[in-house]
Amino acid sequence: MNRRRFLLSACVGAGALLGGRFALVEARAAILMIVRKRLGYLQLDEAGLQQFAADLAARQATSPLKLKALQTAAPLYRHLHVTGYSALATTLNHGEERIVSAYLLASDFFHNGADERKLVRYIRLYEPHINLDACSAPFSRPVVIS
Amino acid sequence: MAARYDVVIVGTGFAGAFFLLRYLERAPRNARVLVLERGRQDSKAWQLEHRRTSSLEPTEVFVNLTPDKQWLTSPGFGGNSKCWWAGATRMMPGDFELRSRYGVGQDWPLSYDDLEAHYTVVEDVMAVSGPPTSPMPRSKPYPLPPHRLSSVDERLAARFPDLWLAPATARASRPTPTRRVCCASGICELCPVDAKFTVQNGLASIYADPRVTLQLEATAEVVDTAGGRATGVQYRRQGRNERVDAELVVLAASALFNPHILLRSNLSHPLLGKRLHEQLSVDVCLDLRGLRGYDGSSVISGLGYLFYEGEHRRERAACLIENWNSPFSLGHAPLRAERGRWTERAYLRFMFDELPRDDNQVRIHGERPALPEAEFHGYSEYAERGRARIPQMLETLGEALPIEGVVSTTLGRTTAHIQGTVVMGDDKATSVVDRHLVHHDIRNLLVLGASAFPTASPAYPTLTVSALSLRAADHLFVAAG
Repeated sequence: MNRRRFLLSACVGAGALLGGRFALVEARAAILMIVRKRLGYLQLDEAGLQQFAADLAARQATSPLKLKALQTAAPLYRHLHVTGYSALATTLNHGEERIVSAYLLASDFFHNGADERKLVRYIRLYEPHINLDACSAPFSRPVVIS
Repeated sequence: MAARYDVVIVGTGFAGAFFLLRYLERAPRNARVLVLERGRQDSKAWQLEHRRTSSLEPTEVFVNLTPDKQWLTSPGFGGNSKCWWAGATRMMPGDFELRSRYGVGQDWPLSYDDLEAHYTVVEDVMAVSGPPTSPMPRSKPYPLPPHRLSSVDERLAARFPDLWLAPATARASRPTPTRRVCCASGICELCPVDAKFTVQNGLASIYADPRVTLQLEATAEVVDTAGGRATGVQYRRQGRNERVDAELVVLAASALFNPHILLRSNLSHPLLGKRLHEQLSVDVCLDLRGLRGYDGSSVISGLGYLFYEGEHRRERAACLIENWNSPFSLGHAPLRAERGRWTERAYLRFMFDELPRDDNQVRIHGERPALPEAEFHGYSEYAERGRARIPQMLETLGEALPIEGVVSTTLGRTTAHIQGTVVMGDDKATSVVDRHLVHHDIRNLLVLGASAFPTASPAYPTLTVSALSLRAADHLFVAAG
């Protein structure tokens, strides 16, 4: 590999890293915005929330492009509350609820009986397939033994 | 000189295992059985460690020409019992008589009554949990009591008694000697508590029978025939070509691999490989007003039969509805964000029966003939007409449920039930195997499994697959006197 090619490769690699880093930062910000917007009625542990956003952004479970679009539209989006079941409303709500669901299931909220007076703390991403959380479904009730 | 066996069985999933179970009960002490399994013995510990059920990738075993349509398979000892979600419904009587009752599709060459006793045996072996009432005739209660309904199911069951029920499932509702109680983890393919029935936790002992030789990583390639009889099996094992002689050959390798082996054996038939199918499924997410979901005791907490049997089957597909109790399994948004209303939601899966199309098929892959290729062009108009009725079905469900709105409606990519391709029937012009799953032309060749299904019931196929295998084994001994 000659010097010019090496420098070019290094620049491309560094650019990709920076670009990826930038995308992650933007995705994290969008996740934080969504959780705060939709769960404003709960007390959220800030450090835990930051960690959750970082963990979820790294998973790329939600399209980074969509999150980037939300972040770009943040000044308007932050105050946007679409209701009803039109195509636009369900699409927006669905995207938000995926992230809200991920946060609530990853926190101690349901373990604490959904007590809104308690500070909600992040535990870890709710990923039963990875963590093999066998019996951690928070809402299931056991079989009735007669 | 090739080794000689009384029986060679290809495959260790439900079809092969239940055949072997019954065969060993009736076979002489000196019987010699060879079982060929193309995959490895991926233990439960291995599966949990690697978060997957097979050490073989699907791409190593078949080519999917239409990746938007998934076909799920889990090669290895135990076959798809490793990855199934343990739905253990029987088919309804009408599923066997579509042509004579409703004038569509075709009748199966056997009736519900022909299978009832075998269904009962399979339910006992699998320790199936189910409700006290049943939409189909039963000679015996389920071995295990039912799982707990969710609040959504309770509402539906109150409005539609006898048509909305706890599921028939091999996810244990009580501990069994080898299984723990299901706790609704929603990761059933791995099932960390080993609550669901598998060949590994339920039937492994039959493979330890001294009459049985199990060879792993042994891929059956060709059934040899001469003079209208199967004479043996050629297979590949650990990079070498092997061959054994056999008095009886039993293919139980699934609807992807059974036709592939037969095609490579030059056992041609106009329908061989055709009519690949599974149910059409649609996932519907509903917002509810003041009613909380997800509080049943197993991953699917209720089954709805209210759009299943009836005169509508003359015009459109029957439907079985699942209520998904696990908010984590489907990759959607399980919870709501509104204060106090987090679980006021229901995920329903509508599963429609299918009249198989000839252009959906399994063939030998052109460049890699050792692999089958699956080609899918779409569902039948019959199934699509059923799907088009979902809005009306939701209106009916709305008589029981406070439906606030429909959040999403999504066509499923798979129900994980691969069926058709070696269909059964009484007429050899329109079927490859007979009602006992014996090849019409090669009378000492059995082809077991859902490959024999002439049509798809909305019900899960596993119980029927297993019951058909028991029946096929019984017939062998009856026919032999």
